[in-house]
Amino acid sequence: MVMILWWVTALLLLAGLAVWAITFWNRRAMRTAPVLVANSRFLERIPSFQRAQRWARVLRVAQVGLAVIGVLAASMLAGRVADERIETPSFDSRDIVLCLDVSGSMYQYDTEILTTMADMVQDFDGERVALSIFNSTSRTVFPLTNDYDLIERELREASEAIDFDEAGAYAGTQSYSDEKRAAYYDFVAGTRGIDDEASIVPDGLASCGQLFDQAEEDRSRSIILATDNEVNGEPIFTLDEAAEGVAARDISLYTFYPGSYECSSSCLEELRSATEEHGGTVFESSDPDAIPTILDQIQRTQAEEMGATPTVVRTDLPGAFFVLTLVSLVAILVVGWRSR
Amino acid sequence: MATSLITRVKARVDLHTSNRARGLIQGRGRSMFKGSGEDFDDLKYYQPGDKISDIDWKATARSGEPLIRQFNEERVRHLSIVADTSAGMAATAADGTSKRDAAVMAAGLICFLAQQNGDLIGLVGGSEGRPLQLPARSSDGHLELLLRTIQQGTTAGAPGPDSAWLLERAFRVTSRSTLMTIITDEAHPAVEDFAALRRLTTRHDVMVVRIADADPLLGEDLDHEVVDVEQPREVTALARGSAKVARDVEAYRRARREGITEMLDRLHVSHVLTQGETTVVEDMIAMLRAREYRHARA
Repeated sequence: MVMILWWVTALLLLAGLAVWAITFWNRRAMRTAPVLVANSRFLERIPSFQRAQRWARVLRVAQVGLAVIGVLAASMLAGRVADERIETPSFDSRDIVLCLDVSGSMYQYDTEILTTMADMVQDFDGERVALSIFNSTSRTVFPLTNDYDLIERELREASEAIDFDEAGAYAGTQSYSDEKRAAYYDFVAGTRGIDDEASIVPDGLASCGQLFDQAEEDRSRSIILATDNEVNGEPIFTLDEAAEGVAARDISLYTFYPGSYECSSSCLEELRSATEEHGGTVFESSDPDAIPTILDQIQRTQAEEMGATPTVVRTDLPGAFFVLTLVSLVAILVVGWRSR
Repeated sequence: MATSLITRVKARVDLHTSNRARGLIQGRGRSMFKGSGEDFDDLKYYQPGDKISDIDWKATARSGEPLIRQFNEERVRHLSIVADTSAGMAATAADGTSKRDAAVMAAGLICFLAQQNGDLIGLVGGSEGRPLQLPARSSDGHLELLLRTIQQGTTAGAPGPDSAWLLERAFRVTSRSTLMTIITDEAHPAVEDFAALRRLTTRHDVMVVRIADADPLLGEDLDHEVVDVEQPREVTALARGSAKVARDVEAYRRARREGITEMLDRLHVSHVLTQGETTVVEDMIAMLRAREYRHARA
């Protein structure tokens, strides 16, 4: 709630105060010479007179109150009280693929990304989202769609399922219910197509790039890739090739790196060079709580790329003050007429 | 003091009455003044306060009603004016003029009539805190002073009316019997003052001139505020414009007026209720004529 013309309100209130002050200081001058009478003390003993005096006093208080309300309401009305929203023009031609590495080291980050994304989906209008997870092989949880109910439901289920410390469960430091265990294994099923290999990031990224359809349409396409890039096995593509393939299809790549797990800094270096060489952006944070900020940043970056600067949209809300002004004016007239 | 008050009063009295006012209070108050017995004038009905020794028993026997002999007063007579100079008298009279001007005019008429005979005339007025008193004198300068004293003593800043004190004071300071004119307003002397007034009538021949007050509501003239001199409070336009309030107020005032009129009639006190300066001279002359007629009928 803001007042667009707040200075008009201030001006009107000042003017109202000034009028009151002038009449207050000149109230003697404005009065006509009084007629002196005597022996009118008995008036106090006449009930009808007392009633009239009391009634007149009530009416006067009402009049003053109404006048104050009227002036306040009118000046608020003049000040144009409005609702202010910062609105980003819709990305209704945007496709986002969430590309998550579901190896054991990533489960906390995946959970956070999925939860945050699920929250953001509610504000989407026209965007399409897909979710793809990979470990040694890749699985598409759901393809690009704008069925937001489905997206949200899937994302929430996924975020719950993935919240599972597999290493801890093996080691016995974490215990999970059978249902939870089943949900996790159901979710990651199909991502371990090749035994003894894990986190085949380049292949995962490449298959995420395959998810984009409607190639002939002019849409903004982006992949949010979350991985620690600790490849265990023999990928078909190199990471560089995968990134190139993605870039060749005009897909923006946003990479999230949560920090090393077993790998030295070479993993990050590889990820950074592959991403940035092809125009992508790398975000790096070991704190799962930083993910909402990062996703927000991705949103903004995209908005800028699409030339959509956030604009302030103001909606006037004259209703309440208009009614108040009108009612108080009518009431002043009625009371004024009544006290004649 | 461009024009003396007495001159102004004279002009008004002459305008109203030419020469007919002369002699209006000649032969008045006979019962209160010692007749010498030399110049028998007239018989009149006995009134409470008249001396029983003045009763003409033969005439009484003839007429069946008590009659007393009146003699032409040869001695200088004593007149007194008891003027209410409270704040209430500085207010507006019923005709819109100042009650003070009406009071001065009433006192002036008495002075004018006294001047014709060379009667002595004194003044009692003021308030408990600041009493006004002038001894009985007859000079023109004294009459002028008397009128000025009334005029200047009557201010809106003066204390409120206290007719009980005024009547008590009048009784105490005028030991000689006089023809006493009480000048006050429509609400006075109050019915509570009955005893004080009766005591006054035993010594003095009392006349009461009452000046009517302006309507405390002034319902037709809402442009002007109405302020009570004693009790300045706001009378709202709503109360002033209300027909019901006007009716109730008028009923109260009528009852008050009638109560006082009845009391004065009971005491056989000549009295008049006048609307203000514009009517005071006419009304007083009418009262004096009626008094004369009443006396003359005997």
